[in-house]
Amino acid sequence: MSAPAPGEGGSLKGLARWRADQRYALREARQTLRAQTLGTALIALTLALALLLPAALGRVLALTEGNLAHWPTTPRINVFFGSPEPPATLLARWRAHREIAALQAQSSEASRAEFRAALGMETALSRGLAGEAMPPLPSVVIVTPRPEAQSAARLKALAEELSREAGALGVQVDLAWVERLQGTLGFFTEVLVLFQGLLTAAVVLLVGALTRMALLERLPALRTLRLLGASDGFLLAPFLYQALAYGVAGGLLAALSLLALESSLTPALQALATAYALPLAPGGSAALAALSVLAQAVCFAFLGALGAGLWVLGRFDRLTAPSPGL
Amino acid sequence: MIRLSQVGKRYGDRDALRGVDLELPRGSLNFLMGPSGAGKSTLLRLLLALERPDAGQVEVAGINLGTLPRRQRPAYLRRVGAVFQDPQLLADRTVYQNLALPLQLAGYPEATQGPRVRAALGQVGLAGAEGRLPWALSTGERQRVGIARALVHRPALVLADEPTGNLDPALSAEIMALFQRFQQVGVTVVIATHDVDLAQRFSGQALHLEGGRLVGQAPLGAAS
Repeated sequence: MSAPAPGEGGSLKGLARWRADQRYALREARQTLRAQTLGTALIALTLALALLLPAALGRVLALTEGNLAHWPTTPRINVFFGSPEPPATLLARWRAHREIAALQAQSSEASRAEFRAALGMETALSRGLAGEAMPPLPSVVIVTPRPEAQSAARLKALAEELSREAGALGVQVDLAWVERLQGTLGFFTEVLVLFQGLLTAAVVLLVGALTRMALLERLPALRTLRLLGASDGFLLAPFLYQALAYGVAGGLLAALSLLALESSLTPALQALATAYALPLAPGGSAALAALSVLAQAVCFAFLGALGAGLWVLGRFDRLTAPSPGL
Repeated sequence: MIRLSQVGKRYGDRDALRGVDLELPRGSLNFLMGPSGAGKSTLLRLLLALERPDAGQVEVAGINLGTLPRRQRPAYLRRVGAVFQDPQLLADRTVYQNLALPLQLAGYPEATQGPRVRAALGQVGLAGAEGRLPWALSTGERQRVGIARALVHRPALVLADEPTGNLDPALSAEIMALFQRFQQVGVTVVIATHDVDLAQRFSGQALHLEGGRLVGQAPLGAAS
């Protein structure tokens, strides 16, 4: 106790001192976490569940949207005719139409051949349907509108215009189901964003509430530390490290669960894609999604703890009653 | 070291301190005396920068505590040692950890903390108590650990509020002697106490407060 002179303080300054303080805070956080192993595990599990739910839904949507991209998305209008061939004059007129990009005419016989091929020739049903008794199929003109005419309203107007042509039996606007599916996915994406927002808030609030409770529980100790000269950062650091530990544990759990979920769902998706004769699109990297969940967990836990910490420290003097004497 | 000029502090409609003028040199031993409600604790709170004066100026080592920004308060407090009536030890930390705290805050490397903690414990008669938890200590032992914690980082100023209130007379005298030893190496010590007889046994000065006013300032005679 000889040197330094009274009031001089220790030799650690700047970064070295900051590092020493962080080591101290880490030790404090580790000691608290070790004393509450079960509590820490439960908190991590809760965080993992809250993060896994929207992450898993997000992956399913990403996979669906990714695979939808392989499907034809340019709208087409099928115009059916009772004659064996679509009228040639009509085709010439439509080729000059300002809203039509391309035409593909298919004779009644070609339609029949396509139908037979689609059914397959080995089934009793196909043999019956493809026989002489099979009613004639209409000829068809497949119209691809120009990109500027592909809005729902313009498509409808064009289809109506084409259906009024002499000899036209009817029209069918293709890809309406794709639009419906895309609409449904769009809706679910919005629901997912809302869901994600709510569960993010839940994670932030959960960690915030836990940190606030931990800080309030230790108010007398914090008051003592303050009287000894602890800065706000020094007081808060152990709690922030504690929250980071919750975030890392919860995030890792959620990320690993997400990877496990994806690998268990992939065979089923593969089978579905095969049934539609489409390649299975990856829908973004699963590892990246898992990393993102981990990063989110850490960030949200840190933000929650920081918010709660600043809230408590901002009201510190009001929250701590003076001790007897001092 | 300490300069108070026309210091006033009010709580509601009650004057806790009124027009206090005071100058305490570096390395002096000072006993704040007076009945309950005289303003002793208020004066200590002002010197700890826990509160700001409503009037006048409180200056410690050239620092105006009335205008000290909140963010600079920790740095000021690290230069001060505070002994509380209730020692306020961290209940879930060992004696060593409690004593290492001011050293950590003051920027002492970990390697140098051990010898200082052990030396401080030795000075308050608790050598070997490093690993004990506060609940395993007697009231007097806890108070001595509190005193050791206030002195371990060699502060420039020690403020103590009834530090011997929980101790027996013999131990009280030892603790006061300890404060005096620190005063002799340049530490300024201000002790609020009711124990006039004990204070009389040490050389220093008595500051008499009454009704928030400083009504007397007189030297004390060592063992006189």
